[in-house]
Amino acid sequence: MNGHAMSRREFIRLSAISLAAGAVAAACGGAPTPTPAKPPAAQPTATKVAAPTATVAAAPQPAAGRVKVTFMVPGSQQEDADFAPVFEEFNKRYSDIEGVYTPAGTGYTDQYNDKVMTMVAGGIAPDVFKTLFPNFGTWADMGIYLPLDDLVQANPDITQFDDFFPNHIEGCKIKGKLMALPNDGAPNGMWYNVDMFEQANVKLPDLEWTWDTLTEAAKAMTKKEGNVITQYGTGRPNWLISVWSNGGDLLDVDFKKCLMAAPEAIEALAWMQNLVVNLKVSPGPQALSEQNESDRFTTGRLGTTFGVRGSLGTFRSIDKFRFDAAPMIMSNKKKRVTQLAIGWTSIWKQSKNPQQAYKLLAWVCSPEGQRLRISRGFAHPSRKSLISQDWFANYTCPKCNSKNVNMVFPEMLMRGEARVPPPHPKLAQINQVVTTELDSLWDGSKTPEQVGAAIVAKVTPLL
Amino acid sequence: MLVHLSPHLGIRQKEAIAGWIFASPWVIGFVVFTAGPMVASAVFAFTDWNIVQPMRWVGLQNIQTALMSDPLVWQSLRVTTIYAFVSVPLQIVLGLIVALLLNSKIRGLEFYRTIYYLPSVLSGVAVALLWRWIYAPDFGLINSTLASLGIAGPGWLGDSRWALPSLIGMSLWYVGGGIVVYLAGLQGVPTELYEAAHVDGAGWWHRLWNVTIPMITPVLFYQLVTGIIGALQVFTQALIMTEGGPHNATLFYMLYLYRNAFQYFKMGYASLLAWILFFYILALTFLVLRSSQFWVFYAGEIREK
Repeated sequence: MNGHAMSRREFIRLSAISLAAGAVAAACGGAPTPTPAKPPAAQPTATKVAAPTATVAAAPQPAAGRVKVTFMVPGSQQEDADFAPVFEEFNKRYSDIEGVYTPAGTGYTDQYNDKVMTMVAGGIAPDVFKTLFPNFGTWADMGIYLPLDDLVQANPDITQFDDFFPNHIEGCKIKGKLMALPNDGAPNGMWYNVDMFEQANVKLPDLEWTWDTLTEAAKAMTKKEGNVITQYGTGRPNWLISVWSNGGDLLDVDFKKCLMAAPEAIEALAWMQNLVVNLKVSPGPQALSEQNESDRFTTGRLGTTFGVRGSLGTFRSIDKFRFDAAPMIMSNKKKRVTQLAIGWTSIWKQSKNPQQAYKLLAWVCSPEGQRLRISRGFAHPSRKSLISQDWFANYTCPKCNSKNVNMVFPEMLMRGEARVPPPHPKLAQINQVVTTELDSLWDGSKTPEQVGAAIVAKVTPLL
Repeated sequence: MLVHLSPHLGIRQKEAIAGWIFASPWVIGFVVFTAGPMVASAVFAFTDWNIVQPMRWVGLQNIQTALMSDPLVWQSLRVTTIYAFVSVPLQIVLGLIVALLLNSKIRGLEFYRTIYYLPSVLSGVAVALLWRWIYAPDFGLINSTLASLGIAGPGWLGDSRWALPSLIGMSLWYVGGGIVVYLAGLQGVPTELYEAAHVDGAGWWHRLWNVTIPMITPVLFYQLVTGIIGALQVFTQALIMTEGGPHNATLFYMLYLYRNAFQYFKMGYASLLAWILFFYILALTFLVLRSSQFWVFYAGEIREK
C-alpha cells in the first residue's frame, strides 16, 4: 500500500471501469463462437493419398446474410484436415450458408459423447454432428435428432438417396424414421497374413470360408515354444457377428426379449470358446492382456484378425510380410452376416436452421463430399458410386497382396450382408453386460449354455 | 487503498473487507465449481435424469436400486475397499522403510532420493501402459524372471484371481510421493531424543519403535487419511489396464460411477453413487480420526491418563 494513495472518487471510478470490462468480457465469452480450426496435421508416413493442403474452413466472420451452420465429428487432427476441402467446397457452393467445421478435440472416445451431450444440455450443440457407437439408439430415444424423412423428400437432388448402400440407410433408421445420413460406414471383414498362410501350406481364404475352414487353418498356423504360444492362427471372432451368421440375434425385433440362450447363439458361443479354450488357436484373455489383436497381427504373430477397411491406416505400415483381406467368414450354415460401423450424421432437433443444416448434412454425405474427405484416408464410403473410382478401387500399399483390400468390403455391402447392432436405448449397458459375461466364456469357467443363460438373465431387466 | 475506503469504517472492518476481496477468487470458485455442483448432485440423486430430457423425481428409488438390487454397487465397493485396505498400509510401510534408508548419511543421498521420487512425477496413463508390459504373462518382466527360476507366473491382469493384486502391486510405484513427506517428518525428530535413548542403552530397533515412530505419527496419520481417500477414488488404472475385468474383478467404484454417468447417461443414479462414496469416505475418515487419539502423538501434547 505504499506510494500513491487512491481517493474515494478514484476507487469508485476504477471499480466502475472494472465492472464494465468484466461485463463485456462475460458477454463475449458467453456467445457460442466457432472454435478456430487446428492446422492440418502432417501425414505420419508417405501414402498414396495427397497431403493436406487446404485449411479447415472457419471464416472469421460470416458474410452479411449468410446463415452459419456448425458441424462436429469425433476425429483426430488428421480427420480435421481431411474435412478441410469438404467445407472449403461447401462454402464455395452455397453463398447463403457458412459451414463451420468445429474440431471436437476428443478423438473417438467417450469424451466426444460427453462433449456433445453437454452442448445439447446447454443449448449450444452443433447443427450437424456424428454419433458414436453404441449411442445412436440412445440419443434417438432422448429426442436429440431431427427426423430427416421430410427433408430427404424435399431435397431429392442434393440427397441422391438411391446411391447409398441399402444397409447403410437401414442402419440409420429408428422405428422406421430416418434419424441420420451415413457419412461413411464399413463392414467388418477378415484380414490375414499371406506369408503365414503360405508357410503353413494353408489355402488362402475366399468367399466360401466357414467356421470349420477357419478352425482348421488356425490349427495349422498356431505355433508353440515350450509352454508359450508364440503365434496364434486366428484372432477372436466378434460374438455378435458369429451369432448373426448362425441365424441368431442379441434381441428380438421388438427389443423385448434377449435371444442369447437360443440354440443358434449357443452354437456360436461354443465355436468361439472352442477356438480359445480347447484348441488354443486364438488368444485368450491373458494373451490379450499382453498384446492386443491389432498389435499381434502387425507384428506377424497372428494369422487372421477381423476389422474394417479403415484398419489399412495401421496395416499399411506393415513391411515384414504380405497381407490381404477376405470377406467375413460364414457360419457352418453357410450364412454370412457382418457388422456395419456407420458414421451416423444427424441434425440437432433444436437447430435454428434445419433447412441449411440439411444442405450441409447432404453435402458431407454426398458422393463428392465423401470423395473429398475419404480419398485422403481409409474410411469406407456409404455411396455405391464411389467404390469403382480409381482412388478407392486401386489403392495399393507395399505389402497389400491384392485389390481385395479394397473390394471385399463393398462387395459384402452389395450382397446385403452387413447390418448394425440393434439400436436399443440401453445398448451401451447391454453391451457391457455381454462383455462381462463373455469373460467366463473366454477363460472356460462356464459352458456356452451357462454364459447364454447368464446374459439373458442380466439383459432381460434392461429391456 | 483501504485506508481511504471509508472514514467511517474501523480498522478491523477494513481488514475484513480486504480479506474477503483477496479470498474472493477462491470463494467464488468454491461456490460455483464445488459447492454448487455438490448441492445440485444431491438433488439429482433423487431423480431420473439423462442430462438432455427433463429430470423426473423418483424419490428414494435410486437409493433402493443401489442398495437392494444392483449387485455391481456392492461388487465395486468390495473391490475398492480391498484395494484401499491393502494398498494404503503397504504404501505407508514401504514408504517409511525407504524413507528411513534415505534418511541415513550416505554418499549420493540426493541422487537416491531423486530416483525414488521420480516415478511419482510420471503421468497415470503412461505408468499404466508401462505396467501392462511388466505384467505381460508370456514375455513380461515379472514372469520372465519367474520363468528363469523355474516358476510359472500367473496371468496377472488377464486372470480374475490376480488382476486386483496386480493393481495393488502397481500402486507401490507411487510410494516416492510419501517418502518426501516421511523424510520431512524424520528430520523433524529432535536429535536429543535419540541421544537420550542412546545413553539409556536403546538399540536401533528400540530407538525406531520408541522414538522415531511416535514422533512421526502425525505424518503417518496424514498419509493414512489422504491415502484412504485417494485409494477409494482410483479410476485410471482400471479404465486403461483392465476396463474393470475380468469378471468385474477390478470394477472400482469410480469406474462404475463413470459408466453410469457418461456411458449409460444415468446422471441421477450416478449422482447418488457419488454421494454414497462421499459418505463412505467420510465414515472411514471419521473412524481414522477417532482412532488417532490412541496412536497419534503431537510434540508438546500432554495427555491425561
